[in-house]
Amino acid sequence: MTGLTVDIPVLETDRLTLRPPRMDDTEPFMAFLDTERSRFVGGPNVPQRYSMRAFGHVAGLWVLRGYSCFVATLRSSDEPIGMMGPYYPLVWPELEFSWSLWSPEAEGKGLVTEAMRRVIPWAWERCGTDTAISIVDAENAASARVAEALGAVPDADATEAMTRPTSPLYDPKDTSPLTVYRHRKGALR
Amino acid sequence: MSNATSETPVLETDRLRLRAPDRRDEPALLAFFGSERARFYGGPLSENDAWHKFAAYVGQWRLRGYGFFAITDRETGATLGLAGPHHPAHFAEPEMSWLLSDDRYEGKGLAKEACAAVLIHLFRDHRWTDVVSYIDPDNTASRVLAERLGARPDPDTPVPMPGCDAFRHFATEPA
Repeated sequence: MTGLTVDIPVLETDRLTLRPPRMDDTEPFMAFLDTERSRFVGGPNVPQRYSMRAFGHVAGLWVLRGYSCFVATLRSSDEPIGMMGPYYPLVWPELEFSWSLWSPEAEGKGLVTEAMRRVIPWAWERCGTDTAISIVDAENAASARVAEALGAVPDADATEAMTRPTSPLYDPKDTSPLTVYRHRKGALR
Repeated sequence: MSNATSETPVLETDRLRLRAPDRRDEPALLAFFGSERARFYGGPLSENDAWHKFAAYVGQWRLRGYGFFAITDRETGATLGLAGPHHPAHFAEPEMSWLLSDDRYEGKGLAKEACAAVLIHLFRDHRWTDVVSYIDPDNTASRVLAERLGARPDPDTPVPMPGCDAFRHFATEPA
């Protein structure tokens, strides 16, 4: 007797394979969380039990929601370079299109944009919606460029709502400015 | 485009069906982790922290191929707790762990029935020879259950959960 089956596609682009998260991805993921580059996703200095949870819940979301983030690997080397896709944990304003690159060497090559152009059309179908956000820290210029390259636009109302004390993500200890970008089905570039 | 799928086992006992946890178990587990009952499991936790913990348990099945089973009532399908090998990255080995999500499920031998089925599964289907449990010295109910399941104190094994004692379950009785 067997239980539930989780159906996770493997997507491909010119340079990348987008596949489910695996246990051996925790090593590059945790190495990323140890660096200053993780400052826009809650790092660095994350206690180990939380960093495992940070990775494990992304794998769990595939089961709980039926969609979640992929790990992107370079087709040339199989090296995992980051994680991206539709992200919607329990306490979150709405569906987010999220991405992070785990090493600085992977930056500046258009890899996230390439991955998300493949993921987003799949995600509209799989998530059953036609709008999503990307939450971008004001100092995260690289992610702002990706959001704009994908055809997302700043959403002033959603941005304002995130910074209200009633927002599920409001943190009085972290009031660094952010911009909520709005993706709409049909706006992908 | 190829697909990655995974199937998870289902174990049955007289009163229980044990299966991989999913959304049906979320309300019971969030209530548990938010309550004083979770004091030996890092709680009580906020809703957000409780959900992250639960979601990571669900994800461990995908990452490791084994994990906590949801303990469910065979008749009603109600979620009663969790039992299975918990194995976060900072644990050197998987830990056999268990919980009942509500006071009213205690005292009926349900945790023992669930744990015995899981241990048989681990020893028979996964061919594990032994598995550890880390138990808080104040968690008398869990210590008593570990002993009833045949686990022995294992004072020499390193314990990644500060303050806990290690017990070890064996597929066959140690010589």
